[in-house]
Amino acid sequence: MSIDLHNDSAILTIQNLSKSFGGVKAVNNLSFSVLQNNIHAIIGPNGAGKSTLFNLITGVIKPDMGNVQFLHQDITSLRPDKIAQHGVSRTFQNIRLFPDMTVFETVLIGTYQFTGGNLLPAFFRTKTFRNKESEAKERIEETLKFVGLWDVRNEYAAQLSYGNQRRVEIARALATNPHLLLLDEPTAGMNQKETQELMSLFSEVNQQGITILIIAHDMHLVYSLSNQITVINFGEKLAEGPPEVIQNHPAVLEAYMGRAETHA
Amino acid sequence: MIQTNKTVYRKFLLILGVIALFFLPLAVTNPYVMYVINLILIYTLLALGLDLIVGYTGQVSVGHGAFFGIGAYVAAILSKNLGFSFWVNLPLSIILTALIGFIIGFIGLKLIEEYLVMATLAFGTIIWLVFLNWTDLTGGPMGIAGITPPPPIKIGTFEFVFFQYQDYYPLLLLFVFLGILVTRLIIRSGFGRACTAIRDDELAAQSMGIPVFKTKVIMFTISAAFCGAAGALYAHFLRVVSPETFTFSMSVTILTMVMIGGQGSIAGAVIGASILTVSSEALRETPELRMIIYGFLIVVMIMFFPKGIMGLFQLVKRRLQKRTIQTPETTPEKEGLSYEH
Repeated sequence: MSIDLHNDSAILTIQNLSKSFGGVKAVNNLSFSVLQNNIHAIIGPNGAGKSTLFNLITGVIKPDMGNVQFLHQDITSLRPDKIAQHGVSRTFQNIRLFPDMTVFETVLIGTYQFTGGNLLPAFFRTKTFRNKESEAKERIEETLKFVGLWDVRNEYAAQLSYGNQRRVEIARALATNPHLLLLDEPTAGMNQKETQELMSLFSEVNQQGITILIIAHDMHLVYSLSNQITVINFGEKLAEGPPEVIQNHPAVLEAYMGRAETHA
Repeated sequence: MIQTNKTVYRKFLLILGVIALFFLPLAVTNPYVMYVINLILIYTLLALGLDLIVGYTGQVSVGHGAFFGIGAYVAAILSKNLGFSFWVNLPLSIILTALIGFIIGFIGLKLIEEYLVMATLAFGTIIWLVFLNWTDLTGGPMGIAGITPPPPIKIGTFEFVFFQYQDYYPLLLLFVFLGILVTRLIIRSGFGRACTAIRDDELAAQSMGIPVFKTKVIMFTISAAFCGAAGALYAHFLRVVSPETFTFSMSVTILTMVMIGGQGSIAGAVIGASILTVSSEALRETPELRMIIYGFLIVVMIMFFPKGIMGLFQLVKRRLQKRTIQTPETTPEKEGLSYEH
């Protein structure tokens, strides 16, 4: 995929975004764009503000300054659920599942905006309601087969292996039918094999036309998976470019690479 | 095939059991026992209602006794002052209680956990004080007596009058079944699933597109409406309402029912209501002791059986199933890394 910096193909544009906690500037005047259909990686040392950035994009916290535009629409002041309904979905750094739900039920939550909300149709089981419900269930079947969890659909999500729990989270995010998927350190704590499998899953997701913004510490993963990288440190953008450029960027080497070998 | 036969069989048994339940008065001759059974039915509605917001949505309220009271007083006042019949008062009680529930929910649910508890506590106390002091409307400490029983129901030549406790029983039972049906429809809908998601992980739920606040407010309103229905039934069943019924202790009693029976379980609400109603009647002479016992029970349940009696049942059931079904293939999966919540 060629890197086209033409602004029209940007799916997500972040402008002068700032957020402080107390005296700490977690994100400081940060601007960058994520282009349509890219796998865009965010890297940076621990505490660089990566997760804060995700929380700002998804509306969990509000910025002190700056704005976030998604598909040419300002989503800065929207609530997280509205942003999700616009087509931005995410996974969390620490896996967040619903302890009392099976895999299937968990992923079903992702279809809320298509089936959920209204109680009255559910009460009278109207035809449209039943159609939507079966449509959603079909889509979940598709999604679960796609991520390889169909066989364990009736098990409690929280009882699965760590790797599979991550897949449940990804499936749940995909069930919202996103245009942009945010992955916050999805391979943290995974072994080599699990990491490889997840990487190919991400490529497949991307091939379906879903843009991916991924936070990762695993350099091998970042370089082989992504086609654009933004490096941040102390909440500021340090460098940006395709993997070939970032790999040899002096500032990046200095700030980050020395510590990358520990794999966080 | 075996599965479908089994479910058909179970459904058949269930319907048979439901029909049999309606004929219970034939077997119970003691009017006091009948009275207690009727109370259990009213409390079951209350527990079902509170469970919707506590068990299924994870928002604790200690003010639902007030919604019960509002439902009861609305029915009592309409009956006494305007001569309205039960069938008019019931929907009006439900609507008004739901409306107040909506307002309280809209204010209170912006707060997080402990503060919501405080807000509902304050609300419950204020409502109780209104019952006690707005003498012109509520009769003050004396309450309102002489509420009319539901008018007779005529089916063909058969006339159904509401005179004795056993006459009320089928009516109350009908409303409990209606309550169970509505609860099932809610919790099995996308809306109900959204509530469970909010209870389990609010941030994850919201990030999946669920409007958390709105969902909570709707559920709180429905929950209040259940208590309003129970209140109207209570007023027309006992034919007298007085403020001492709708104190903080009532709210705690309903909460204890939900906790003991098992949060997020219909059967739990029934079991909790049964146990607590019977024990409340047994401890009628010593109400102080009642609160001490309930307080102690809540603490014990939270510490050791957070999902109540039904949770205990399910745990045993799941253990037994695991022992028989689990294949060695799936065993290592269960030992996967636990995650921080």
